[in-house]
Amino acid sequence: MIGYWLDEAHRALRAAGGAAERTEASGAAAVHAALAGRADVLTGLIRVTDLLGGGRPAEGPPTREAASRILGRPGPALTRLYIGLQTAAATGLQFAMSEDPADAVTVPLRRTADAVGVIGDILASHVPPRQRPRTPEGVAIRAGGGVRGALGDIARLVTDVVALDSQLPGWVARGEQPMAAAYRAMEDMARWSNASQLAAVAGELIADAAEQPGLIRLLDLAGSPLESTPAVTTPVEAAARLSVARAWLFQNPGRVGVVHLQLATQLGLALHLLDDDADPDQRQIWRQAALNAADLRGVPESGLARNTAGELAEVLRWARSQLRADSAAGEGHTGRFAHELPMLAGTLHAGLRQVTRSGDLFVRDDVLRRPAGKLIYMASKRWRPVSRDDDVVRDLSRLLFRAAGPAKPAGVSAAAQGFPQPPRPGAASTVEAPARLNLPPSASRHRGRSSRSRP
Amino acid sequence: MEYIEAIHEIRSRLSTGGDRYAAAAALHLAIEAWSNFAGGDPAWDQVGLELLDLRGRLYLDEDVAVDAEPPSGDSVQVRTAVSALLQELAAHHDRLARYGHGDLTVRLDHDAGAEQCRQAAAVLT
Repeated sequence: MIGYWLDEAHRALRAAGGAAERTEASGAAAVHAALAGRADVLTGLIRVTDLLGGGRPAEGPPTREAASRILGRPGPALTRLYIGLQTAAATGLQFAMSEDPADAVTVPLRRTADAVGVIGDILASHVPPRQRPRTPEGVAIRAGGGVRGALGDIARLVTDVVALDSQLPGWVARGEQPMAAAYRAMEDMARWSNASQLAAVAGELIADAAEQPGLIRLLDLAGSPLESTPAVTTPVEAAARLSVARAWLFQNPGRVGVVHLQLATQLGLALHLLDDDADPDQRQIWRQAALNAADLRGVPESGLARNTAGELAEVLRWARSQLRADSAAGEGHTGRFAHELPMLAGTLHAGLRQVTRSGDLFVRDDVLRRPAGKLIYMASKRWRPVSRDDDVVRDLSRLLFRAAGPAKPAGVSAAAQGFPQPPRPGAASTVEAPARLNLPPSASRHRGRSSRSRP
Repeated sequence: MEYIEAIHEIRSRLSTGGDRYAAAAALHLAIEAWSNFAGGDPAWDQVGLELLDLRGRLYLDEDVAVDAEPPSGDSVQVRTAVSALLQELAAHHDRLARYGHGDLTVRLDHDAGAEQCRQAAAVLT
């Protein structure tokens, strides 16, 4: 379990720091090994921080001065931690990778690096980088479960690294061979680590985690993985995945299920919230549709229908995270999704008609037991298949019809609606991405499909 | 019962424990506030999306209703009340994450749910 490895790493790191305080470097090989081990530990911590939910800033590692400034300012602790770790790892030293001398500092450092590596491996088996989570635990972690507690543990290790840094210069100086360059570099490292507030940021995370249950400590390596699909991290990717999902639903109206209806209506609402120029009447339509759909139930999806639901869920998760981030106030995603949503609504409208006929959609049987004098009562647990005449179906159908807009968006034939529309490169240039999201100019290229409508 | 009165009642039941439907009732009241404030502040929509996600993950089999009037209109008073209710719901999920007997996935889900409730509460204040 991750908890075991966290404790191992902590013990080993403290041992290394203690040894650095009491002993002296046995030679150049030991110094090199210590530097290599330290670098591996920091790289591993960066990887774990990334897997736990990012904080990775859009730009590359800043200079030491810039990093110190960022750490000193208020801001999201996770991003500051990430930047601090990156800077601490960038010593600018070259060290030869030779065999490890059995030194009192280097041996525990190597053990620490190994332990942190295992932690990263266990996490990655659940939340593979740049992909959708592979396990239910991974889904919960991506939604934030256990993260604050885990960051407290990581921050504790960071504190240990800062403590080690302050001991390393003395360890080198007392050593047999004077190693001026290594000593100077370690002095620099130590000075930066101490002055830079890295320990303070770590302290913030530790304090924040104090009341949290250490759930991620209980995580084990995942079993065999499910299919892996790319995660959505930019508006361009979101539009592309949405386009793919919508196209599949259009081509398979008989496979539209309640999960698609629910996720897509919530997504419609979320995208209207993200778009500053969105029509509030349309937003109202999608909101009402989401509320209606939330009251329905259905049979579980399978096969490609389930994959499509997964795509919708991932885009919705991204949209909600954008709303929470709130850092891009005013930087809208104007137009990027505007042409997708009416097509999505039309697709859902057709699908709703089919699934109503097939009897795979259920609504609560309308008998509510209202025990006298009780404030809370159980809504009926009986569900029956919907019929076309049910209010919830009629309302939802009407709302989707209105959201679909005029009969056909100009210039887009019915056949073209069946194929994914890649976001046009021209449209991207009018939209400013929030500063955190790095949009490479070629990201809008979509494999295979033309964006022109077909005759 | 009047809406805000019902919120206070559910909150106290959540914090004292013992009513197994209190959490679902809290969620119901919060969603009801959202669904009543049509066309209003987009903040409510953001809250609503989080609540629907929470319901889909953790409350799928627990549909309760509350015998109370719907809220009359969006106001500082209603927002404060719903925000406090969501904080209490967050604490409830915290407890389940910490002491629950389900497997790790369920407890992680509760931890995530607690975060979602806190974030939704923050949006309303």
